[in-house]
Amino acid sequence: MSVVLSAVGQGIARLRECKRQLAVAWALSLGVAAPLAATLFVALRDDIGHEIAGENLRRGWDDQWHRAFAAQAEGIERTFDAGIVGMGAVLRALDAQISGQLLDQPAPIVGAGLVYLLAWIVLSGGFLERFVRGGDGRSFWTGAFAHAPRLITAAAIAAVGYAIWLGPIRGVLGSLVDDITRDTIDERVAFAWTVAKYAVVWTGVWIVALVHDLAKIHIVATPDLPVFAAIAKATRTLRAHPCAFAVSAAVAGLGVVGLVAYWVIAPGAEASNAFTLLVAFGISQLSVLLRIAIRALGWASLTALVGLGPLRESSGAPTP
Amino acid sequence: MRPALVIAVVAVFAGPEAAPGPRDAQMHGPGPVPAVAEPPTLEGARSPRNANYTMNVRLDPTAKIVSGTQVLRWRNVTGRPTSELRYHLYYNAWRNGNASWWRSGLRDRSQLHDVPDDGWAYQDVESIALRDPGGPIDLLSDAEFIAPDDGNPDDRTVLRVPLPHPVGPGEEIEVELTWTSKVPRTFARTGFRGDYFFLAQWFPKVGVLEDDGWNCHQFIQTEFYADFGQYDVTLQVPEGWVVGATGTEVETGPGEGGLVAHRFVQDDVHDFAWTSSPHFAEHEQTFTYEGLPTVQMRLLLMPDHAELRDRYFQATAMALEHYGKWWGAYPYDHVTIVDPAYESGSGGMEYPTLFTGGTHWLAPLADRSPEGVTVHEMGHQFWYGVIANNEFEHAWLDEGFNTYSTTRTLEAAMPEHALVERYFEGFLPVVFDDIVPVERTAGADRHAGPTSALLRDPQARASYQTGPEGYRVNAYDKGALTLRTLENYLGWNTFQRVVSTYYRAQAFKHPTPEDFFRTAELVSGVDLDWFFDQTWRKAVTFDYAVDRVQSEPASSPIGYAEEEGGLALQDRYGPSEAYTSHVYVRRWAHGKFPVAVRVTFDDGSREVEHWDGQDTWHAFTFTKKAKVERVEVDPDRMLVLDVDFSNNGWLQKSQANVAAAKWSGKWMVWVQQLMEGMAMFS
Ligand SMILES: [Zn+2]
Repeated sequence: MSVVLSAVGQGIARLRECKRQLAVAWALSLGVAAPLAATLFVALRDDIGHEIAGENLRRGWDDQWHRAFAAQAEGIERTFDAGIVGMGAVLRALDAQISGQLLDQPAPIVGAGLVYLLAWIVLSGGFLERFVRGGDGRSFWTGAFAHAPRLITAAAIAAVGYAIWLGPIRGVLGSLVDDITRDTIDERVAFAWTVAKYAVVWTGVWIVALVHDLAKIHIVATPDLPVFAAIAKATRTLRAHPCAFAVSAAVAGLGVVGLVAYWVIAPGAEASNAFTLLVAFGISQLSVLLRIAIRALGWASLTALVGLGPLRESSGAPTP
Repeated sequence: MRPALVIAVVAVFAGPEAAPGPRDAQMHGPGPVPAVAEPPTLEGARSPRNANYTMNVRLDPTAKIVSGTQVLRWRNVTGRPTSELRYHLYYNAWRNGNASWWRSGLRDRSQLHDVPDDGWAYQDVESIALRDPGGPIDLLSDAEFIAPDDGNPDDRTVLRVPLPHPVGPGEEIEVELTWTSKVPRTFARTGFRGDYFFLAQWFPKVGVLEDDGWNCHQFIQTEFYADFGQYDVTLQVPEGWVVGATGTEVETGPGEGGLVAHRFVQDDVHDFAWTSSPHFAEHEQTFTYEGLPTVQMRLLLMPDHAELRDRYFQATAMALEHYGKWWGAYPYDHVTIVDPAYESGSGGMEYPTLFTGGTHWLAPLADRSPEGVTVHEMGHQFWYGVIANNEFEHAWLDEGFNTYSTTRTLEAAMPEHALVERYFEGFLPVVFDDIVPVERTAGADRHAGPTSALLRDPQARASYQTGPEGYRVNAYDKGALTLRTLENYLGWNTFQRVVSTYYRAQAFKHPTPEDFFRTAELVSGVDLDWFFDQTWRKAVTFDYAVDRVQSEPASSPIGYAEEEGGLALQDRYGPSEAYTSHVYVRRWAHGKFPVAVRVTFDDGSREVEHWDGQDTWHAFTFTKKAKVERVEVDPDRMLVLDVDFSNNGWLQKSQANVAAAKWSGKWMVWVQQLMEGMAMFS
């Protein structure tokens, strides 16, 4: 237990030194999503025009207007409805992720996601460079670009693992659960089987993700280590440090706590003027920052767990 | 037609605030009803009772077989003799893929491959004989399958049974029949799931003889039509299984082969459905409301919905109370509410004195589940059970009237309503309190433009002959919107009298749309031919809109102006006290209806104008000290048939930027969260 807490504590301490890089990552998220949002903004603005619906939508929601809008919506416009209000944006995206449907979105959104994914493979090299070797902001970027080719290869290999679990295995388990529950008359029983299905799928994804993360750490820690050797080494590391699962679960737990906290403050459909709009937007971006930080924290904590990188006070006290 | 409209409209355009129609009451909310509407005749035989069944059936839950005997006591209520009977054998619709059920084009034939081996069904008549003083006369040898709708020789859903001698007007015969059915794995809301059985359209059922012949359609659409009668049905099921059925249980005793026999009896109904399962929990409550008869409510509840017991009862009571007050009392003293098994596909359907609800294990109040479906299906006891129009041909007389009444009841009795999103394959609901979905009858939700089903199928087209989507759009949406518009036009008190009179007059009969039109005109005293012509005979839509608005200073024109010392050329407006405003309104669709136009000026003053809505456009001109700030066509949403309300309002100061920024910003968070989901794989 103390090993886990110490690793997460170390991870938090290391993350605190990367505030600027976290901000860059967040700006990246904004930058990739903004053109899509701008496209939707123009579509909404042009559709609303001088209609009274504009007043209703500013004050709250106008379902009747939305029906008319949705009837002729195309492309990304079709994904717009009131379900993205407040926590809905987070829950809907998480739901797509859990059920393996991230790619079932309109092409521009999938494209933006893939660009962001690629950018994060590169960024992860920078973060891990800081976590494994310490170093400053400049080493972040040199690390990021130096490790990129091997990290991209590792991600491509891991993607096969992710795809197998979220694709065919999820499909087979889905059919199995359908068969098992075909005469079930109680929704709670069907729910339990569905939970079991996703528990299996996501345990598989989790193992792939941990091996992937540890392989990345080895890739960054040992500059000339080939990718396949790094993956093999990561498998051995995971066997030697089974509490990596606990560390990763603890970090995910922190993420869940953070999202629940965000749920409390998530801005809803309330009336807006230019100022409150900006405040609401700022608050809603906390949910994005949280997920960015949690991802980086996972790497930082794992790095600490496997004994790499400079040891620090787990309280996260600033280093000299 | 047109002059009638003008008279109706002119008569009521008394003052500037007068509404565009002979309304006699507020249009929001039900308002006070002077007295509870009178119930239909309650004593003695309330219906013609010309199709009476005595049946004894056994359920074999392992083999999924229902078999039994039937005696039909049938009377010819038409003015002409008949030399044959026609029976529906509904379960044969799922005998195989050659049945018209699959061939009609209404269903995706690729789903044929998804039907599991135990999913198919059949219904085989093993014997059929006419009771005669000289002994039973066999009718089976001359019987044949016919396909009056599509001529499909492979369809076995209608059996024609020639009689040895014609049955004259008023004459009665008795026919004995034995049959065996394989129960499907739920098609059209009947079938089994595990050890839950819901049996509807399950017995060989005689069609309706009308003066122009048999009305006995093949089973293609899930709408039904039958004569009233007395049912005496004994249902044999395994011990420990709970039974729910049309009517009330009068006797329980030992059946054949260790089964338990439950005998249910009901008078004056036109169908009989039943359910059985060992999983049901039984609950009873009594509905009482001053001025309305007491009704015993029996609820059969599945184990995962134990928490929802009271909500089922409350919703049933909502419908009994409001429909009872508004239209007329529920004429039976009991009703059975069946909570269907999970994914059984049997939920949300009406049968005489019994209906199925349906909900989720986790069911937030704001989702109105099971309330919405319960009010609706209980409501069908009125609009289907008592008013037994031909659903196959005029589905809007039951679905439209009932959808309209459901919305009205929920508005009056259940204010809780908010967006509920479901996650994790639909198991986990989350309520979003600040988003209120619109009511189904708050406005037309078809914006398909020229491809709209509303423009293709007039309501007068028989329901089973409408094109894709036409059935739902016409029967439910347009039917309800037509009635809501008529309520707004006539005013609630008049409209309530129209509908309650229609309910009383047509109880236990098979009314047609013309019966309703006649009642509406007679009771309201208003010529409504123009209205029904557009909403029933023709396939037109309604769409009124603000076209253009201009406000400019009334004096000091740009150009040459008379001034002391001659003409002076002015290139800008001089100081002005007043503005001339032109408001152009537009009729985009063919449907015509009088509408109010409300204009608000930037000094807060308001003008309400009335437009007869006849021409394609109209202009209103105002000269005031203020400029136009806002224009609303039909501000009180009288014409809920308007297919697009978003073009009905205009604001001088557009709110589009803030509104679009607000909502695209929220949407952007969703995109970013999706991107975070993908970045997990980095
Ligand atoms: Zn209905």
